[in-house]
Amino acid sequence: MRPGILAALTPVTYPARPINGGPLELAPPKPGHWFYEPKYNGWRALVHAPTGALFNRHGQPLSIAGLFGSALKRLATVALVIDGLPVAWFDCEVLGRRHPLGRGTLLVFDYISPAGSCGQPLVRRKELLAGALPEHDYTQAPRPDEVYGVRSHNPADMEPELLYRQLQQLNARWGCPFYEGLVAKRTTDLYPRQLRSPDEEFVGWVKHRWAY
Amino acid sequence: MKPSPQTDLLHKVSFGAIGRKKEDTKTSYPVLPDPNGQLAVIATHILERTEQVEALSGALEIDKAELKTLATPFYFTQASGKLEVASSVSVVSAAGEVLITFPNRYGKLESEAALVPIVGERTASFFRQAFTLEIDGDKLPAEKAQELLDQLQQLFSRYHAAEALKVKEGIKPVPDFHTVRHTALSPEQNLALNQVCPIIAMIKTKGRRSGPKEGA
Repeated sequence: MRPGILAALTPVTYPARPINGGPLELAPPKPGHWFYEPKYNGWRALVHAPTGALFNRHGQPLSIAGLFGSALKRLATVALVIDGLPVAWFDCEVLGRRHPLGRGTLLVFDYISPAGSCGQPLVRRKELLAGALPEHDYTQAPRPDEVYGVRSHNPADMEPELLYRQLQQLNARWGCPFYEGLVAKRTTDLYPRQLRSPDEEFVGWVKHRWAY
Repeated sequence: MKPSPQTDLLHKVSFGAIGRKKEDTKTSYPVLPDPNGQLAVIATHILERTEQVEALSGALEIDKAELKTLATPFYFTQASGKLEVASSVSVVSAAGEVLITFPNRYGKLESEAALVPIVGERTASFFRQAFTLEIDGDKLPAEKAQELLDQLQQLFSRYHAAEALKVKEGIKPVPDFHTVRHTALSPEQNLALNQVCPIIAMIKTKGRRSGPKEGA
C-alpha cells in the first residue's frame, strides 16, 4: 500500500474493547443472551480491506502490517454487502510472531457496518460473516497466510466451560499459548462504534482469560 | 576451565565482560525470606482474591448494563410528553432498592450521520458541533467562534507553530435537549436516538439497600 493512502486514511472506530470478566470458572452467570468465542493470542487490528491498511487498537498504523500481504489480498476479495453498501472495515486478530502457529493469518471476528447502512446485532453480523468467510475450526491450528472468520459458540450447543477447557488442552497439545481464554459477546448488541477513546470499554464484550 | 573441543572447532570469539542478551526478559528480584510459609499463604490469597474480584467486578458491570438496557424503554415511555421528568427509575427487590439514573450526560458523536435518519431536519435543533482546542470551545461566543479560530490559526502559522494546535471535535446535544426531548420526540424516536447517542445512565445503590422495617 502506498504511504500516501495510509496517511489519508483514518479508522472509523476504535476496536471494541472488552471488559475483564476474570477467569471463566469464577464468573457468575450473565443475564441476557451471549455467544462465546476463542480469545486468540495475536495483535488486535482494524483492517481496511480495499487498501489493506491495518490499524492497532489505538488507531495507529500497525508496525507488523508487512507480514500479512497474502491474507490482505484475500480479504480484499471478500464480498460482504450491507443494505447495498460494501463492508470495508473488519475487526480482526492478526497472528504474528508470538507463537509459531498461523503466521501471517487474519482471524476476522467482526465487521463495521458501512456508513449509511443500518447496524446489525452481533447474531446477524456473525451469520453474514459465516457466509462470506471460511470459519476457523478451533480444534485445528490455522494455516499460515490465511483469512478465517471466527466462529461464535452458542451456550445452548456447547457449554462455555467445556470450550474453555478444550482450548487449554489444545494449547498444551500444540506446545504454545495459542489461545488466551474466551470472549463472551452479547448477541443483541450493535457494534460499539466510537472514536472517543481507545481505552473505552464495552460491557457487551467480556474477556475471560486464564493467564495473566 | 578448558574450552571444549567443539568450541575450538568453531573458532568462537570471546566477549569477555560484555553482557549477553538475556533469553528470559522477566526481571528477577530478591526473594523475601519466608521460613514458615506465612508470606506464601498471603500471596496466594492476594492472587486468588484478585481473580475473584475481577470476576465479580465484571459480573457487576454486566448486571448494571442489563438493568439500564431494560429500564430505558420505560424511562422514555413514562417521561413522554412531560416537562418535569423524574431523573431516575426505581427497581425494588427483597434486598433493597436500586435506582437507574438518567442524567444530562451524553457521549460525543463523530458525526451527525446517524442522527439524521431519526430526527431529520430537526437534527440542528437538538445537536450541535462541540470542540476542544486546548481551550473550552463551549465557552466561546458562538457568533464569533469561527473568526476567533481563524485568527488563532493565523497567529500560530505566523510563528511556524501551526502543528502545535490540536483540535478534538464532535457532535453533542444542545444544553436543553435532555429536557425537551420528552415533549418534542416520541418514545420510539428517543429510544432510537439512545442507540446512537446514549444517555450515560448510572446505577445507584447507596442509602437504598435497607429492606422493609420490622413491623412496617
